[in-house]
Amino acid sequence: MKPQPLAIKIAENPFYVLGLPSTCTRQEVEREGQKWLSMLALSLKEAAFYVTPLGEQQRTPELVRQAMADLRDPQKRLVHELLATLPAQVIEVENTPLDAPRDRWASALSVLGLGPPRKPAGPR
Amino acid sequence: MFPIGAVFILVRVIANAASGSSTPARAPATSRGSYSFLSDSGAFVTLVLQVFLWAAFTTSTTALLAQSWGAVLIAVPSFVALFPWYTTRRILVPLGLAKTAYQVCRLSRVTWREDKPGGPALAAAWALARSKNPSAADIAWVEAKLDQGSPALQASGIVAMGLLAAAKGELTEARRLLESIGAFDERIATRPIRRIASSWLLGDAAAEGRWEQVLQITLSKRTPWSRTMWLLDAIARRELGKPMSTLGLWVFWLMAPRRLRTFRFVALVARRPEMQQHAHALGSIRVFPGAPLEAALYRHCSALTQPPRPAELVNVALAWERALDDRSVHHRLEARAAVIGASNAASAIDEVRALVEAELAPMVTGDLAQLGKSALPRLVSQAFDARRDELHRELEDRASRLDARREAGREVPSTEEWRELQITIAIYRDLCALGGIGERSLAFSVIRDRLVNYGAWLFNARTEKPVANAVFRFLHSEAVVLGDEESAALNRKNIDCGL
Repeated sequence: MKPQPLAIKIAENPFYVLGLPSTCTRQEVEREGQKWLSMLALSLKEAAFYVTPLGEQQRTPELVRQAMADLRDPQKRLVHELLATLPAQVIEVENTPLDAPRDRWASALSVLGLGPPRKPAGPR
Repeated sequence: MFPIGAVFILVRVIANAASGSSTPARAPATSRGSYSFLSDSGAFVTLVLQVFLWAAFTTSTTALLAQSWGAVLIAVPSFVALFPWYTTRRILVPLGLAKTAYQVCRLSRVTWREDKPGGPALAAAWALARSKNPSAADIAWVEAKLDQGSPALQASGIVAMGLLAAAKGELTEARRLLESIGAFDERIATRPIRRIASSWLLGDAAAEGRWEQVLQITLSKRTPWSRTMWLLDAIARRELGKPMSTLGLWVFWLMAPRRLRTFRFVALVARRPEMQQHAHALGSIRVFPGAPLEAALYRHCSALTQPPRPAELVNVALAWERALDDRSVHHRLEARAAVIGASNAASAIDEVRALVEAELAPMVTGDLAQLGKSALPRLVSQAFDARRDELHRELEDRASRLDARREAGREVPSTEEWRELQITIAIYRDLCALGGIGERSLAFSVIRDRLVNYGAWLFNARTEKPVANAVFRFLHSEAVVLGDEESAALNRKNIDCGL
């Protein structure tokens, strides 16, 4: 499938990357950005990942710098604020009886002798 | 013992002498071109050889029973030579011994007599597809075997390519290649080839929970029957809420092999009430309550975590339309714009709208057409049009490139030719699924002449007769559906040119 522009914008949203609320000030952005860059330079485990509604993502120095740059531009920040409306936590997908997903037979290929079992689906 | 070998040689000598000439040099065959091994050249020699091997095997087994352990040196090789394909699929493939599977399969004079190196490569690829961590070197080794030594690409080679793609984790490519086997004549895509391809596709669809596709494969006339296929068909019917009693499901389970391994899943399916019709194919359309922007983002993120379904796409679009037109969202954005010093709140809304449209466009599938274009929300309708235009552009582009390459005589390996062709056909099929007969006609006009010329080039200049035949068969079936008599007649004539 082709790159999903909106999914990327959500997964790499500067507010999620920096772990800040969308109402934060400019100073908080700079301070938090520098903090993450220092932690990443020291290869600290706590800095390696950040949480978004689409799941955990890897935090890199490039992403942090890009996030800081984007939040300095008010027009770009406005779009990011709009897309960071959901809290920074993985969403729980609701299933209703009407459209509950069907059973996946993850081990079907191995039972048929044609491949290893598949992993269960997660956020893409 | 009757000297059958000497008699055979004598008969051959007499027959040659009677014809007054020696056997003419045989041109390299470009295809298997037979329904069974009995119509293969050399079938008689195969039978004689099998008799000798059987004699060696039974004699050495008798000696083994009499505790002459040295006889094992004759018993094992004679068994392998007698049943190379059986040994390969029952022992070597499950053990993941790709190179050994390739070599042993080369001994086959029945199943793969006229299909080398495609058949042995298929066995090796199958062994790799089963492995949890297939090595890149082994995959490259099999790919190299496929690219060299064959006068023309066969269906077996394409299944091997598909299984290698699966081994590399390229599932979309694997599906496309294995599905493409349906285009071949049954003398090329023989029963063992179709069985392996359809089994993989069935397992893949079941593993992803795509039960409509399972049913589609099991109902196809070209799918060779098997007890496992019957079980999967029964499970698919139950999953889709079609008639299938619990007793019937268990009977199919009892008939199928590997009962211990399938028990758990069948028990899970059997717990489902019978005839529970789900709104699966399309899903259910409904408005999500709550704050509009949160709802839209939540719906969108939920849709991204599952295979997209048409109704879900509509739900996402409805939620976005509601959010982006909502006054409270506009007011909130304007207030924030004033605080942070942004010049234009409305352009932020437009930017998000464009992002949503760009994101939804590739998710639009033919299933959405079932809902009726007029019933679709504006965002989906725009995404629908954008997707259709993009597919038309892609089809035109791909068809032109194939044509230009043919005119310039630029050859690529036959495996790459097939990949290119299948991508073009996949785009064509996507377009057909999006629109009605008019869309199909329009798309066919783009490929009709170009693919005929391309097929003729493959047949004449490249001697890729099986692949060319598959191209003509595809064009013929489309021409018949669209009532294009001229194209149907031309492609019928081309199909009759042989394999």
